This record gives sequence, structure tokens and C-alpha cells, in this order.
Amino acid sequence: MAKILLVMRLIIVLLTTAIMQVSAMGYAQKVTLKQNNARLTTVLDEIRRQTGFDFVYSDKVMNTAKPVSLNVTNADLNDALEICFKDQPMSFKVEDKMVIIQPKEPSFLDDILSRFAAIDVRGRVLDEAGNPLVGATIQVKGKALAYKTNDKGEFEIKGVDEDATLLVSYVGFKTLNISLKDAVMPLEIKLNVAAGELEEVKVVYNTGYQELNKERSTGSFVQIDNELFNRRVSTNVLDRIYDITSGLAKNTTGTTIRGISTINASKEILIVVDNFPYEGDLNNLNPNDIESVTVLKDAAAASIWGVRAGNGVIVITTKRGDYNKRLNLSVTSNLTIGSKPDLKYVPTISSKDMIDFEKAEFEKGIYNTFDDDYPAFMSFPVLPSVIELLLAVRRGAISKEEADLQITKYANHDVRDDIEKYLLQNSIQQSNSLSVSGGGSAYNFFGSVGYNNTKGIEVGNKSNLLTIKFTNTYKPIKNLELSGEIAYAQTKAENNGLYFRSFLPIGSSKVSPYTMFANEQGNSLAIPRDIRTAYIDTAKFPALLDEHYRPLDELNNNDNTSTGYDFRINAGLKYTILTGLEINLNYQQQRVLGNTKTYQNLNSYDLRREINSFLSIDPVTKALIYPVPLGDKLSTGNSELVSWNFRSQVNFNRGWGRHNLAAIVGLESRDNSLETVANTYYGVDRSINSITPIDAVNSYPIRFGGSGRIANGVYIRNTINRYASYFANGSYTYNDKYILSLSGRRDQSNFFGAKGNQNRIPLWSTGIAWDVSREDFYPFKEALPYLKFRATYGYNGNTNPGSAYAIASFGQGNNASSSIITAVITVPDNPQLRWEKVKNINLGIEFGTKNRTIYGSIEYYKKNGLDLIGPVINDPTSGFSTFIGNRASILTRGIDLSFSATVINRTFKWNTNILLNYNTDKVTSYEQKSIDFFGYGIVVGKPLNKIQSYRFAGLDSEDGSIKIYLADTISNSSNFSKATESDIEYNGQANPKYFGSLMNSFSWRNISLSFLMSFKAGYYFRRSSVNYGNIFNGWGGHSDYAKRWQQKGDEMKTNVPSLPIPANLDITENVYSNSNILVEKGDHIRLKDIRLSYTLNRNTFRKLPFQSMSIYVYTDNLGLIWKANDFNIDPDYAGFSSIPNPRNFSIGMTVSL
Amino acid sequence: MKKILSYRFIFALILSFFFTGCKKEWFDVKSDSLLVVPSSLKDFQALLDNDLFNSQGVALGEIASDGHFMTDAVFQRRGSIEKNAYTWSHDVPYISVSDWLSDNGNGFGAYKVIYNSNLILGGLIKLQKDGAEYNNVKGQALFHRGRCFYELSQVWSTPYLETTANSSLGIPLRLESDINIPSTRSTLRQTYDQIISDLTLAAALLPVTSLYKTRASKPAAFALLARTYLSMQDYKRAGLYADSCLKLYNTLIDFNTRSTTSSNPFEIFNPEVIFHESMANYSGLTSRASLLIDPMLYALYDNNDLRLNIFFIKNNTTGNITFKGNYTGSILQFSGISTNELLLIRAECFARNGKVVEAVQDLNGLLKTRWKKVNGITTYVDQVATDSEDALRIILKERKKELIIRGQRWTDLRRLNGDNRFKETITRIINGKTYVLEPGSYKYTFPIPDDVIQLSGMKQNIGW
Repeated sequence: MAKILLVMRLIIVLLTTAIMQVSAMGYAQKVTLKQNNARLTTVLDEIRRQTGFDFVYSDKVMNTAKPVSLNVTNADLNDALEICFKDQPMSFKVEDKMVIIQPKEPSFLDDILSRFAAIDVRGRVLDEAGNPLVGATIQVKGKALAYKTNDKGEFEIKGVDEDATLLVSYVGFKTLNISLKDAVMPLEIKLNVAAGELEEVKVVYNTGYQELNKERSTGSFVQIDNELFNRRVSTNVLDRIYDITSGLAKNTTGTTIRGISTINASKEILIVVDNFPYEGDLNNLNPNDIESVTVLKDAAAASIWGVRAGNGVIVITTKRGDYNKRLNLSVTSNLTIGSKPDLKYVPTISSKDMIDFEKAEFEKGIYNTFDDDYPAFMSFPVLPSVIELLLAVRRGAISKEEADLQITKYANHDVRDDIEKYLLQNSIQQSNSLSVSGGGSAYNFFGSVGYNNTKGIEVGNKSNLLTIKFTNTYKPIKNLELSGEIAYAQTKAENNGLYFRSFLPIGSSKVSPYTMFANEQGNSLAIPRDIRTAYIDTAKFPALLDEHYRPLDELNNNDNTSTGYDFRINAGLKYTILTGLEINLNYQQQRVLGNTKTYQNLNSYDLRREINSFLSIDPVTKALIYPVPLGDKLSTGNSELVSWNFRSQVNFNRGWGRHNLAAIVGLESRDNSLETVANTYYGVDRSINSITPIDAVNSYPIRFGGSGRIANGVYIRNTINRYASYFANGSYTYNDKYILSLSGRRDQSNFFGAKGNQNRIPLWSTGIAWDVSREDFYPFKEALPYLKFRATYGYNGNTNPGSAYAIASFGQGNNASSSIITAVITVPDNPQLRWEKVKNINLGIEFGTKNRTIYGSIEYYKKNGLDLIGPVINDPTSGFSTFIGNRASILTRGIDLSFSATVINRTFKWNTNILLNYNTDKVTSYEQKSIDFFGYGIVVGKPLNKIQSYRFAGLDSEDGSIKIYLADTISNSSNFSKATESDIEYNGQANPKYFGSLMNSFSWRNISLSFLMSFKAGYYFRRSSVNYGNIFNGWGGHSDYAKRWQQKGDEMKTNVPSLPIPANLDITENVYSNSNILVEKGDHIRLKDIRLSYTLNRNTFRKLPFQSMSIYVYTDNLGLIWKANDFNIDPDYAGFSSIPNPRNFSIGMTVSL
Repeated sequence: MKKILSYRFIFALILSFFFTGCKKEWFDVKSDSLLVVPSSLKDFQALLDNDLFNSQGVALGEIASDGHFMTDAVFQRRGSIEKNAYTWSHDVPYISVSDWLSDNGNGFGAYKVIYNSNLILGGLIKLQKDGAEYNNVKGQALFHRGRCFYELSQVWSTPYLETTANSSLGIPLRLESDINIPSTRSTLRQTYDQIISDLTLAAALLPVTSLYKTRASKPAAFALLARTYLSMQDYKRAGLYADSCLKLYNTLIDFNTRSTTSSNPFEIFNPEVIFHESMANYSGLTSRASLLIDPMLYALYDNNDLRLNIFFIKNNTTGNITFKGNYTGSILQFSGISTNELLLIRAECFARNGKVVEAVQDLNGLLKTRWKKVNGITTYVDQVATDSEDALRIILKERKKELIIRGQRWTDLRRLNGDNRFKETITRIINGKTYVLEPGSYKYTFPIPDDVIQLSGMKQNIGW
């Protein structure tokens, strides 16, 4: 014993003194009670209050209890319980901190049975009503073999150890442990329906460091359980939790938890998978392996993650096995078909309008010099096809009639039809997954294999994903638990499609709205690109490869593959020193390998151009010189990410009397390294895997003038991020009513620059909670039996992208030499830089009516982003026109409401879940005056993402130019530079002020139907409209061009200004695009998805060959139900070239054996 | 029991080991192999070898100069900076022009070079070393800072006049890299004093020959001093520094060795180049179809002058003349230093200092290499000058012809405007509107950009 104490002391030395004192006190097991003919439950309640022991029992058993009389002072718990259960038809058993109450079993055969080493067990398994359960599983604890009941519910097992325990299970029923020691043959085993057996449903939050009982938490969490998580069909884990997670918003400005708290630092939400930050691609997680998702929102919940918790934390817990669980095999399979994106949603200029514009420009003589400059000046800027035709007519190459015929064809053509026909396809996604789990008394496991096959929306893109996961837990000796996990994911993708958006005629790219990919016969056509078609057609240089760009041919010219391998191993050790005191060691290593190969064959446009541009003729021998060899080109990229984490942690969780303390102390270190290597090979002959070396050192003349080097694409980069952190977190509960929590953390890292990065102040949080419904004076015990208040305060952090020192980025090669090392300052020195902090306040109320018919929470939060790092617009004569500095603070406030209600709970069930969120932010300080009113300019007192505008004052009746209000008088737009802040109208925030969702679920017998609606409100967006700059300088534009002012009187009908003279282009563009005439309300309601499922299980269909099966159909992205704007714009897709996510339709099933 | 105890002991050991934490050195590893806090001579040289130092010649003056023009159609497609510079106006307003000195607003420009130079000079103080490499790096940084101050002074401050140098506004002189320090305007004298001090110090530190023509050298520093004194109309010193430069490097290209039909007759780092630098990449300057040569200037070239076909190409249908004589080897315009310019500086200074024979000798030496040779015999006839003024007239005419689109014309216009013999009025007609640049006009000094004025609160130039 002395030795034990010695070792214990060694361990305890490592804990804080507070915990040490607590340990020394031990925990009370003494009971003082005086009761006369009291109800057993009343007595047990009192014992629980005094000892902190929980009682587990079913109502059914307790209903048979007799009244109890006892009078004990400072008695042992066991003695007190003996008295209580003396004459009861039930027995008790003390395990850990729980007292389990079970019906008393007959025991008169004890003596006889004990004489046999092995016995035969016979029996019957029945449901509560006494009906036999067919196919129920009987397993002898610790043995792998499982037995099934026959069609009468009977079973027989021979040669069972007399001390053995039977595990009897059936899907939908609670698994029963039966000790054979007390058993009478034949056994009559009645199983209870699993749900609702125990009164209190315990919800446990996983913060990634510890599992917290919801009852004992002060912080703000949202937990998405397995069922809710699996409602939506998606291969991405995050996609499944949007609209069902209170406070989580996905807006055009990004995904946020409780809005914005930073400007320029990382806005990324920290994703934690199985206790450690996840470094790989989230798509590599098989959603079928996910047990639950917990979102940590406030300081008390998230500050344990320290400097990375500023934007909230999402903790993903994957499935593990359970002890004493029979073997379960589950298969899921689904198929999702997605429609093609709706290209007609993009309001592009009509072909006819564009052609008319081009003709008018041509008439003006804009293109007069183009034919003259070529070939004399070696100037071949690419021209739209119509201009090329007009030039051809002018130089007499074709007749006017010929050209007109072709132009008419163009006018009736829409490139979007070609994109849809040739470049897009319906996406198809098949996913299958199989999982096995089970466990004995000292061992459990979970294993799964998943396979996804995806055909993308772009023709030529497909991918597949294989995931394998195996996790197991083993208890080799008492108090020691070892766990290990291996997860493997392998992806392979072919990316040979053409990026369809680059062919949308939106003006920023050189694509005409009348571009044709194929002629009437379906033969691939060349389209203008990079240099003039007229030049390519007539280039006389010998041996030139054809330089036309034919999009449809390009589909066959590339062989782009990427493969990825993601290995993750996780090992854990948990040792219980004393009840409630554990040591936890965890190690995880993740290795993600990525490999891309891009083959361009000799027919590929880019390679043809590259070869041509370097092609020259030896002046003496007249031989052709090919600096870029004739052969395929291969570009490779390899990346290897290695991340390891080590965490050691001491957990303490114990109650004594009315006190309960749950605490952790620990430290962790982390190392992430990423190595990227890229290379390019020319003259590749894939049949014999040979390459032709190129000279990347010397310059070669380029045919169009000048000289250049061949890009060898060599690139090497290493990044290493290291962190070490100390953390502690504790929560103290008194009498189950009052909770106090404290948490602190300190991080160190090897990040660049600022000294503050290494000696930063620790981040901390504190919180209190009060379960008022447990108070004696609480008046609403009937109407509202559960009511709890919580409040938290604390700081989260955010890492800093800036640096106190000037940082240079190194490269190789300049004009003088390709081998010379060069550097450029990417980040200027700013010695005053500090890390960002987010101050968090959270106030919450949780409530529940009887039986939790209505359950909900209301939370108010305030986040103060302090020392925010932002782009500081700087006088460019300093050398940097912007730099990163701590110049701002933001106050974000909001309310998260969450309700769930059981509206009808009979054979027909109706459940409703409502989420309502309010979020608004405002910049509270910004050390400089913004000179940018409209874009990302930061204005004190306004939200970070805001819409401000010029006040539109109609169009000029003479020339259709735009007019605005300046100082409340109508002014010509050319005066816009005189606009001061007071002339600018503030329209509102650009992120929704209100958002939320409503989910209704109906079920009747085995059929359930649910649908999810979401809404956003209280915000504004800027609608796209004509951008004359794009039309003048690009080849496409906006369909509002047709609505422009063209003649006197149009100002009554339209708000689209007239085509400006080029000199006024910038003004018109600036004023119109920033005028309030284009500002629209973003409010809308969306029908997100519908799911219909049908579930079969043996409970209702006894002859089923498996435990249960569920079949479902699901469809999402169903579109808007209502919107505030009149322009047929989905505010989530308001950008000129944005397209709403295509609709998906899925069908799938899950079978459990 | 004993076994369990030993387990506990091991755990305690593991824990206590980790509680001692990670060593400080563990954090010393660099987080990104490509990112470095520049602190060594090697780092500084790598910064100096960035193309930034050779590609951001201040080009506003060239856009505003005569000898070339844009058509209305081309003008319409230019950015606001080019439009204003081309019309010597402030017609197009500026809101958040993030960097006036380069067209794409990506943060490059002369002041970026100055920032880098200051960073290097600051870093060198901490190194406290000496030796050839140290001197070379320091010389280069000083050279670039002086060079940029000089180039900026030609657009942002008034032409140098000894009488007003103390009262006129100079450019913002930034001598430290700290971006938090606000810029203020110096006096004209402070500006030129700084340029001369930087370049003089650089000349003392730099090697006679640099490894690459992208790096500064002693003759390049002398050449810049010659340019500076020329702009100050200190023709004595300008001549001396031009001579110092030519004593170290004086190679000329015989144009007979160049193709008259090539679209790029000169390669990058051709033998006449002493220091390579191209102007900031404004599309109006670098699109050969956009930048048309004034036919009046073209008419000045003799038929036997090889420059007629090496510098220019004429479209016989439209009559459009385009420039292709770039010393950059590409379509970028050259604003670096070459021997032909230095010869012209020395010639002019000789003429102004009364050394007519030497002046004409320098000029003839240069032009001989530009004229056609027939059967190895030059067609060039040596020119003669009757007196200083005659020599000056010949030399200034040839200077305009030889240094076309080399970034020097603007400074020449500024300094020659004060001289009644050489002053010129330039006009442009755009979309029917006439713009006039009169001698001595305030328009010879560009306005400081609106955002610089707004952010720094510095004084705007007179007239704007």
C-alpha cells in the first residue's frame, strides 16, 4: 500500500494543487437518512443527492416497489441500500458511480448449478407483450459465437460456463445482460424497447479533448446526431450540416459560425476529427463512418482550442465499436443524379446585340489599323469572328453576301447551348459502404469500407474514392484501455474536361456569345483565341503546327490525372489510476500524398503554340530548330503532407456529496510539414516512356519578337508548422444546480516574424450555469420541468498572417540568368504586429416541457474581434500601397434560437425543428479613413460586409447618361469624384441579418417524410448589370445591354444608362455599378431538400432476412419558394456569372444484418 | 500488483517528460522554405537581382513626350494614368490609384524599389561587415535608390533651377523602410542633394564591371550622375561624369551588323548597354501597333541612316510608322544606360563648354556607326560646326533622333524650355479636343496622385 501511495504521489505531483486537495478529500459514501413509509424513488433521490451516485432503473420495475422506512446516520452507502431493497422485488448492484436496479431473479438453483462446470441453456426471447422475437441474437459474453432464436423465439446453447453472462439483443430493443448464475431454465427473456427506457437521455458533447455531459456544461454547443447527419445525401461531411446547425451560415462571403470576427486573418473554421485537427481533404472522410458532429460556438466551448478557435470549431467524431455488442453488419448504397447547371441563368448579352455592337465599332474605324499592322508590324491581336469577317470583306477576301450569311447564323446562335451540349453532362454519383462492428467484454471494433464513383458535370471529369477504416479498443488489464485506428483513403480523378465557365460570354474572357463549337454536321470548329485567326490562316513560316483552337478537340488532347492517398493512424492509451482519475495519451499521424500528372499530347493547343513560338530556322543550314521538342508534354506535381500530434492529458471526473468536478490538464505538440515538388518534361514518348531533354537555361528567340526560356516547371517548397500548447479546463458542479467552468490555454508556434507569436498572453474562458428547475422554489415544475441559464466569457484567438519582419519569397531566374537566385519582399516589416483576439460573451437559456414535447434554447452572444489584422491602405510612396496591420476591431452580436417540438406523437408522428439566427456586425474602430466606399473599404460603424451606393437620380433625357444625387441635388455623373461620405447611401449589411431553417418530419408506421426549408433576410446584394467596360474591352457582356437608353424618352422606361463614349467609360462604370438602382433585397425562402424513406425491421416483419432495412429517395437544391427581388435572381447566386447549384436526385438504401 | 505499479511508474515518467515541454530550438525551424527574413549579403543580392529593379523605369514622362502619338481609337482604350499623362491633364479622376508609377496597380513601381533599397541599406548596417561583396551590395542599393529618386524627380518636381531649389517642392524622399513613417515632401535642393549623394557613394563602392548588366556598376553610377547634372543644367559636371563613364566603357554597335528587317534588331544586353532597365509596362508604350512615330521626326533621318529601317518600320498602305529599335530585346521600352546616350551627353557638354572640335568629334564618332557602309566604306560625311551654338544645335537634333523612346526626352524638354533657342510647344488633338503644352507650363510637373495626397496629406504641385 505504501508503494501505491508513493507512485500516486508521483503522479499527483503533476496535477495542480487544486486537484490534489480534491483527491485527498476522497469522496463521501456516507448516508444520513430518516424516512418513514416513503416512496422508494424519493429515498433514492435523496441518496443520490448525498452521494452523487446515479440510479439506473426502468419505470416498470420501480412501479412494483414497496414503501421504505429507514433511519440511518452516517451509514455506508451499501448498508443504506441493503435496507432499502430488503423486501423489494428487485436487487441492486453498485458499479462505478452508478447503482443499477434490476428485478430480482430466482436463486434457488444456485447450489445445484454451481456443481456443474458447464450447463446447457434453453430459453425463449419475447417482446414486452409476450410475442416471440424471431432471429434475436444470443451471445455468450466474451465468446465470438452468436446464436439466433428460431421462428418461435426459442434458442438452445450447449456447454456454457455456469458463470457466463448472456447478451441478448434485437434491433430496436435494449440489449439485456443475463447472468446465468441466477438463471432458471428455460429462460424467459423479455426485451424492452430501446427508446425511452431510461428517463434521462444523456447528451454528451465531444470537444475534441473531453466528453462533456450536457447537464454539466456552461458553453454553447450544437450537436448533430447520427440520424440527422445521415438525413442528407452528400459525400462531403460539411454539406450535411448546413441549415441544421444553429449559427452556422454559408454565405457568398464564406462559411462562418456566428458571423465574422476577423478581416484578414484566417477565416477558416477549425475542423477536428477524432480529437485532432484534420489536415487532409474533408472529402476523404466517408460520411457513413461519422458518428456525430459537434459545433463549438462560444469561448467556453472553443477556447480549449486556443489560437485556432477564433472562427469556431467543428468536432467530428467517427464511429467506434462498443463493448458487449453483438456483431453488426451494415450496408449502405446510394445513387445521386445531378442535372446540368442552368447556363441560361447567367444573363449574358444576346448574340444579336453583341454583333450589332461590333458592327458599330467597326464602322467607327476602331479596327482600321488591324489589317494594316499585320503582317507588317508582327501584330496579331485576336479578334472576334464577326470583326474578322468584316475585315475580310473590306480587304476583298470574301463577298459581303457570304459574310452576311455567316453573321446571320451567328446572330441566331448562343454559345451557352454549345456549352451545355458538348461540355456538360448529368453528374452521377454512386456510393457504397459496408461496415462491421461488435465487441466483447474486453475488446471492441469497428471497420468499414466505402467506395464512391463520381462522374462530374463537365464531360471528361470523373473520380473515385476508396475509404477503409478500422478501429479497435482493447482492455488488456483492468483500468487500462488501448485503442488504435487506421484510416485509409485513396482517390483517383481524371480531369480532362474543359472549364465550362471560361466559355461564358461575360466579357472578361475573350469569348463571343455567338461562338460555335461545331458546324451543322457536328464537326469541331476552331474559335478565336490568343492570336488572330487571319494570321494563323496565312502564316507562311515552314513546318508550323496548326495553331487553331478547337474546344471539342481539346477534350481528347489531355490526360490529366490526380491521385491521392491519405493514411491516418491513431493510437490511444487510457489508464485509470483511481476512479475518476485517468491518464490519456494520444498519438496521431497523418500522411497525405498527392500526385498530379498532366499529359498534353502533340495535338493539344497549348503545346502546339509553345512549340511554334520557339520554332526557328538556322540561318546557315536552313534546318528547322525545335527548342521545344516535338512530343508530348508531361507536367507532374507531388505533394506530401505529414502531420503528427501528441497529446498527454490527465482527466479528473469525480463527485463527492453534492460536489462534482470534471477537469483536464494536458499538453500537446503538433508538427505539420508539407513538401511540394513539381516538374515538367518535354518530348515525351509515352509508348517507350522516353523524354527529350530541353535547354531551360539559355534564351531562344520567340517568333513574335523577343526571346525567352522554356519553362521547365521545376518547383520545390517545404512548409513546416509547429505548435506546442498547454491547456487546462475544469467544471465544478454543485448540487447539480450550479456549474462553474474555467479554461485556459497557451500556444507557441514557429510562425514567422512577430515576437508576439511566441510569447503571447494565454487565452482563457470562464462560465457559469444554473439549473433553476432543480431549485425547490422553482414554480413551473409541471409546465416547464427543465430550465437552465448559462453565461460564458472568454477569449479565442486567431493566427496571424503578417510579420514583424520583412519576409522575402525566393525564386530563381531573372532577365540576366536563369540560375540566379532572386527574392521579392512579399510582406513588409511591421514591428507593431500582434495576434488577433476574439472576446466572447454568451448568454443562454435552455428549456424543456414535460417529456420534452418542446425543447429549445435561446442564446445571445457578443464577439469582440480585437487587434484585428486588416489591409491598411497605405501611401504608395512608402513602397507598399497596402500592408497588414492591427488596425481594426469588430463587434459581432447575435441571437441563436433553436426549438424542437413534437407536434403529434401517435402512430402518426410530426416533429418540427426550427432554427432562427440573428447576426450583425459592425466595425468599431479602424485606424484610417477609407477611401473606397463600395468594395472592401472598411467604415467605422458599419458592418464589414456592407452595401453602400451612390443615389441614383435617373438618366439624362438628352444623352441617357447616369445622374446621381450629390448633396441632395441632381448631378452629372462626371462629378462623382466630388462625392463625400455624406453623399453615399448605406443600404445595409451584405450578410443576412436573419437566417434559419424549418424542418418538418412526418412518420407513419414505416414511412417517414421530411423536408427542410431555409431562409435568409435583412440583407442586400448588388445585382449585376451592364458593364460597358466589359463590352468594349471584352467580347461579351450583360443582357441589360438590350435595355439601355438609346433615344430620348427611354429614360422613362429604363434605368440602364446609354452606351457612353469611351472617354466616359470609367465614370459610367464606376457610378452605375455602385448606384443604389442595382441594390436589391436579399430576403428569400428556399426549399432545400425533401427526403422520403421507408424502413423495414424484424419488429414488424418477422420473416425479414436481416435486422432492418431502409430505402429512401432524396432530392436537394430545389430552389426558391419566395424571394424579395423582382429579377429572378437567387440572392445566393447574385454574381454575374454565378449559377445555382444543380438539382440532385438520390435514391439509396441501408441494410443492417 | 507489482506489474501494475510499474505501469504507473512508466506513465508518470512519460508525463513528466512531456511536461518539461518542447525545446525552444524546436520552434526555430523555418515555416516555409520559400520565405526568408532577408538578413545576409546573399539575401540582399537576391533581392537586388529581382526583375523589379530593372523593369520599373518611371514612364510617365515618356508618355507625355513628343516624337510619338496615339490615334483616338488607341487613346480611348488606354487606362486613366496614360490618358492623363498623354494629355498633360487631370481630366480623368483618380480614386484609389494604388500605385501611379505602374499601370496595373499590383504594387510595383519606383517607390517599391526605394523600399527594397532602404531595407537592404538598413540590413547592411546590422551586418557591420565590409569587403568587396559588401561594398558591391551597398553600392547597388544606393545606386537604385538614387536612380529612382532621379526618375521620380523628373515627373513629380519642377525642373531644377538653382534660384528656386530651396523653395520649390521636391519629391517625397524615403530613406527608411518602415512603412509606418509618413511621407513628406522635401525641397528641390534636398532631392537633388540626395540623388547626388546616393550616386556618388554608389560610384565609389561599385565594381568597374558587374557580373550582369542587370546589376549596377561604376560606369552606370557615373552615367546617372551625368544624367542628373545634365537635368540640373550643370554642364561642366555632366560632361565630366559622362567622360568618366566612357573612360570605363565605350563600346558602340556598328549598325551595319544589324538586320534592317528584323522585328527585334537588338538583343537584350547588347554591347552598347551599360545598365539594363525597361520602363514600367504601360500598354500604350509597349503595343507596337498603338505607339506611332511622328512623321516629322521620321523625316529627319537620312536615307543612308541605317536607323531609318532598324529603328522603324513603315506601313506603306497607311503610312503608320512604328518603333522597333528597343534596346531591351523585347517590346518593352528601354530606359537604361547605354554608351550612345553618354556620348551625346559628353558631346553636348563639350559644345556648351566651348569645345566645338571635341563635341563634333564625339557626335561623328557615334553617327559613323549608324550610317550605311558600301563596300566597307562608310557613306557618312563628318559634320562640322561653325561655333558652339551650331554644334549644340546639331547635337540636340541628333540627341532627339538617337534617343527616341528612351525615357530621356521629357527631361530634355523640361530643361531646354528655359532656353529661347530650343523651346518648343507641343500640341495633341484627341477626339477633336486640342491639348497644348507650352514652354514653362506647370504641366511639366505631374500632379501627385489623389490617393497619395489624401493618405499622406502632402502638398500638391502648383497648378493642379
